[in-house]
Amino acid sequence: MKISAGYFTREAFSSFKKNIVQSIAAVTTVALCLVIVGIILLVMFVGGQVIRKIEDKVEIEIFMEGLDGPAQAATAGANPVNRWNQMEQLGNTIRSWPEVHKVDYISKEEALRKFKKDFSNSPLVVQQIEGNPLPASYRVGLNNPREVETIAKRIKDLPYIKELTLNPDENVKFGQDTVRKLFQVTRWISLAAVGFATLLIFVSLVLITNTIRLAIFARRKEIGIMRLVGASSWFIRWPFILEGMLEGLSGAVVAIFVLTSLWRTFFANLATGKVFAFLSFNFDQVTFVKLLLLLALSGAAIGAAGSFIALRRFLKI
Amino acid sequence: MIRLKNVSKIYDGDKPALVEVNIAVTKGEFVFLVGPSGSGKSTFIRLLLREFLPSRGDIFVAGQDVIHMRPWKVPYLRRNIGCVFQDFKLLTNKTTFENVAFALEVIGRSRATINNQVPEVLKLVGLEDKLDSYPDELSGGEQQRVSIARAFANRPPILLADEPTGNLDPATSLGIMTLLQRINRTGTTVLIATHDREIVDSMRKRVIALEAGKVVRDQLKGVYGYEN
Repeated sequence: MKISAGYFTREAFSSFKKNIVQSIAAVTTVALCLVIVGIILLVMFVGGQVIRKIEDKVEIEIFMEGLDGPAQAATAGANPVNRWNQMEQLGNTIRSWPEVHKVDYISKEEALRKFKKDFSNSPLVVQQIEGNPLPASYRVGLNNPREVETIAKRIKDLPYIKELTLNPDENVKFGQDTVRKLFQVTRWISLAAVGFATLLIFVSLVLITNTIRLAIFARRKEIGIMRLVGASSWFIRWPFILEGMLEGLSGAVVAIFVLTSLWRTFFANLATGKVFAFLSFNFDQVTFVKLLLLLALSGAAIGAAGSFIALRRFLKI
Repeated sequence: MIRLKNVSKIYDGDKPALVEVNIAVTKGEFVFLVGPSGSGKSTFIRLLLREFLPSRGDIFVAGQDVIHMRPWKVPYLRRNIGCVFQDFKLLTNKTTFENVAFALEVIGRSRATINNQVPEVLKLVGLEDKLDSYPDELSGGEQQRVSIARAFANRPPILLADEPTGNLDPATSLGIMTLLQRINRTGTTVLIATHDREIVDSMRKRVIALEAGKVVRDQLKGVYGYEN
C-alpha cells in the first residue's frame, strides 16, 4: 500500500489542478456554506449563553405579610415572635432543598429602598408612597430554572405558608407564563438553526458531488481500463475521495479565515460586553477553536461523502 | 478453465442475446468464437468478465463461480483475465511503457515488479524499441501489440480478445494472431471472438460458432464456415 498512498495523493492533486475552475467553484460553495453554518453555530452559542443568563434570572418570590426582624415583630399583631420563627423555619426548609442554590431574605425596608432606587427617575411615584406598603419576601434561586414550576408547587404546600402569605397562589410568584414562553422560544430557535445548517451542508454536498462527477467523466476511459484490468473499487475511489476532501478542506480553510475575521470584529466586541454588557457572557478562545476544527472536519467529510456518492454509478459492477 | 452451463442472456425487453449456451474450454486451449454481428460474441465475452450477469445459467471462470461471486471480488476475478479489444483502449496521454505499467500499478504491483515485468512483456510483443512512444505515434498493429502486452503483463491464465484484428489489415492481423498463438503456447488459455474468415480458416483451431445466440457448431480444427 506504500506506493499506493503516494499514487492516490498525486492523482488527487493533479486532478484538482486539471479541473481548476470546477475545483474553485466547489471550494467557494463549501466555503460559503460553512461560513453560514459557522455563523449559525456562533449565534447559537452566544444565544445559548444569553438564554442561560435569562434563565438564571428566573426565581421564585414569596411575599409575606411582612414583619421586619424580631424587633418589629414584637410590636406587631398576635404572637409575633412565633410568626418570626415560622418565617425563619420556612426559609431554612427551602434552603435545605438540593434543587435550590440560594434563598435571599428581602426585608420590608430593603424592598422600599430598592423600590425608591428603581423609580428614582419618577419622583412623583416615590412621593406618593405613604409609610411602607411593601411586603417582606424570600427570593429563591434554583440550580435548574426548568424546575421552577415544581419547586413553586412544593413551596405552596409547606407548613405556615398560609399564615405567612395569606394567599399562597397569589403570593408565591415565578412568572410562569414568561418562563414557559422562554423555554418554548429557545427550543424553536435551536431547531430552526439546526435545520438551516443541515440544509446548507446538503447543498454543499450536492455541489461537490457534481464537481467530482465532472472530474470522473473526464477520466472515464482511464477508470474503464482500471476496472478491466482488475483494480479494486477502493483503489479507483481513493484519488477521487482525496480530491473531494481536498476541496472540502480548502473550502473550510477559507470559511475559517472569514469567520475568524468576523469573530475579531463583531463577536469579540460582543463578548467584552460593549453591546450586551449586562449579560457579560464568556465566549472563550477554546470554544472558538473547537468550532473551527468542527468546520474543518465537516468540510473534509462533505468532500469525501460527495466523491463517494458521485462515484457510485461509475463503479457499479 | 471456462465453463458455461445452460447460459441465457436476455437484455431488457429485447430478443435473447444468448440461448442455452453450454461450453467448456480447458486450460491451454486456443478457441475462436465466430459468428455474424449480433450473434452474441460480445455478450459471451462480457459475461466471462462479469460485466453483467446472465439471465439464467452458471458460469465458472478460472475456478471461480462467477454468478455467486460477491461484487467486491470481481476485480480479483478480472486479474485472471487479460482482455484485448478491437479499439485497443490505450490511454493516449501515456507512453507504451506507461500504458502497460498502469495495468500493474492499479492492481498494486510494486515499482520493482513493474520495472522488471513491463520491458519483458513488451519484448515478447516485439515493441522493445518503442517504450517511450505515445499511442498516436504507433501503427494500428503496434497499438494492438501494446494492448496485448497490457493484457498479458500480469500473466493471467486466460486471455480474451474481442475482434482484435477488426481494425487491422490482413498482414498485420496475421502478425497479431501469431503473437496470440505464442502467448497460448506459454500455457495461457486464449479465446478470440472474430469474424475474420481468412485467419480462422488458416489457423485450424477449435471453432465455436454462434448464431442468433445459439451455439450451432463446436469443432476442433475447424473453419469459419459461413458464406457471409
